[in-house]
Amino acid sequence: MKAIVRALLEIKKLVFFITVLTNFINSVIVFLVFCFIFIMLKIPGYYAVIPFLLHFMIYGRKRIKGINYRYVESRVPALRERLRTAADNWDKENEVVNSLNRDVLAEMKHVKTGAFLDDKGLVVKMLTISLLSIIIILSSAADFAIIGWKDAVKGIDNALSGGESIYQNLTEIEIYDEGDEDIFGKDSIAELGLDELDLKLDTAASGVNINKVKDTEEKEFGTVFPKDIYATSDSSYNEKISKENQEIVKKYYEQITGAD
Amino acid sequence: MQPAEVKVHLDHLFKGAKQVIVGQEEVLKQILVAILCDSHALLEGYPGLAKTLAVRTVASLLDLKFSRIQNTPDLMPSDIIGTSILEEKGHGTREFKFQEGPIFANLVLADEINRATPKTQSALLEAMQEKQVTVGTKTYKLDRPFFVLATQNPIEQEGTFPLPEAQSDRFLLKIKTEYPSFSEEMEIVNQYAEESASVVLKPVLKKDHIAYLQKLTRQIPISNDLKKYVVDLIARTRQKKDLLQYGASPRASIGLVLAAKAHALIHGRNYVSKEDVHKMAYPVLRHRIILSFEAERNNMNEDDVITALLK
Repeated sequence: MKAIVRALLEIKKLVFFITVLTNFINSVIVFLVFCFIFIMLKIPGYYAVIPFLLHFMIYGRKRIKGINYRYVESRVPALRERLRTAADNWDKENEVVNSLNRDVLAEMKHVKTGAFLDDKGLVVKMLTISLLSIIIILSSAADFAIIGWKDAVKGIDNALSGGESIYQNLTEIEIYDEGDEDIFGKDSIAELGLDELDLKLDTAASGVNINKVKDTEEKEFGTVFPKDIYATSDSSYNEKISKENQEIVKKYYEQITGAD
Repeated sequence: MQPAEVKVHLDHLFKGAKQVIVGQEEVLKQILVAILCDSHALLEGYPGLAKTLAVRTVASLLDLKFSRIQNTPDLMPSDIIGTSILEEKGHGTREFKFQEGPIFANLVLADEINRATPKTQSALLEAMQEKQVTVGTKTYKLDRPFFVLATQNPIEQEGTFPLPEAQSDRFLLKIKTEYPSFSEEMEIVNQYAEESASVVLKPVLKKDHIAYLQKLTRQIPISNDLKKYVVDLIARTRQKKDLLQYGASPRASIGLVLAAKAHALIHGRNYVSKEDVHKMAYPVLRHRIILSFEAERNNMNEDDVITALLK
């Protein structure tokens, strides 16, 4: 393999790794931002993995596609236009192309990894990651949230329906779960005492048509046994006893039981 | 030889030319571009702008056979190509012998080409294209290298025969000679209005050198991005109907890439840059496009349109 081809492959590999690394850092920022937002909304933080993966895959693909010699040239002005030309003409063999390849190789020796890293951008990103991490840790420790999502859903539902929602019961159940001493609630809220309650049914307001009310029907339920249950005699009981002896035993039992 | 070494030799040539011509550096460079591309150039400019002098100077610096054709309306094709003459042999026999015309040279200066009739122009342009001439049934190959550097002026159009677009397309470049700057004109006055010793130029490049440089020019590598840029630029000349009635042909794409290569070599570079393409776009395209009425109404010339295309 020609030296120029090896050098070109090497530089592409380097740019590829730096691109993936940069994209990963960006995706981590996205993860932390979403993690913070989710914590504030009382949504489990691990859901932030979804935007992280989406960002990593979508932008990663885009950035990797964008890796070309033009990008390298933009980072290393000394190679401007020469690198692309050398890359496009690596298969040609003449003195001008050879001299270009020599020049490009000489310049590439001075190319450092740092040339492809955005120092300022990287520092800003690292600071952002640190800051977001601290904020997330502190807010988690303090159990700080702007809004509970269940309350938010309830609020939205109330606003839409203009009344109570099915979620109200869920909320009440949750209150009991949260350690109230009595399942009947606090005494101050509900106290029946010994007062007699006078309850009346308003037939006019009920949906029951009394005229159609009939006596309860008696249903007969037959005993149906499963087919697979049956009795059988055991062979051990089939003893060979003579008829005389059988009569003696029969009489004996009739006598002790008092049967006629 | 490396492009950087070539530059040293060519700088020596330009230095020699400067002894005779004041300013006009771009004109000299573009003439050399045409020579390196093994093609022809058309010089256009007002009278007195050293068009002919520039060509003569270049001819002196190149160790080539030089001839000059002063085009006039009564010039015949045979005056350029040559003709068969009856030659007296011994023993009372006579024989037709072909007498070569001025076209049989390495560097031909066709002065005021637009003054020749279309028939004569055609004869010249055919020789430029085929690099051979046919007289009767016989075909004569022209000596290589072969360049035609033609001149014309944009005024005094009466009694002239402007080159049709199809024929001007045969010239790789249309070089515009501009008026010199004040200081340059002062220098011209000092140099030519006073008695001074005439400058004798020594040839810098020989035939073999030129052939080698032409080979080297084609070897200059160009990136695919730039090739696409050139093709796209030429395609845009055909698409910009608001500015151009007719665009350039694929011959312009080939010419522009080749001219950009030569420009890079003159500057001692072993690769073509976008700057080379931009610089050469003007002389390569200006005679290959026809402006639309709208562009002319807006007082735009060919160079303005090319500038708009390059943006």
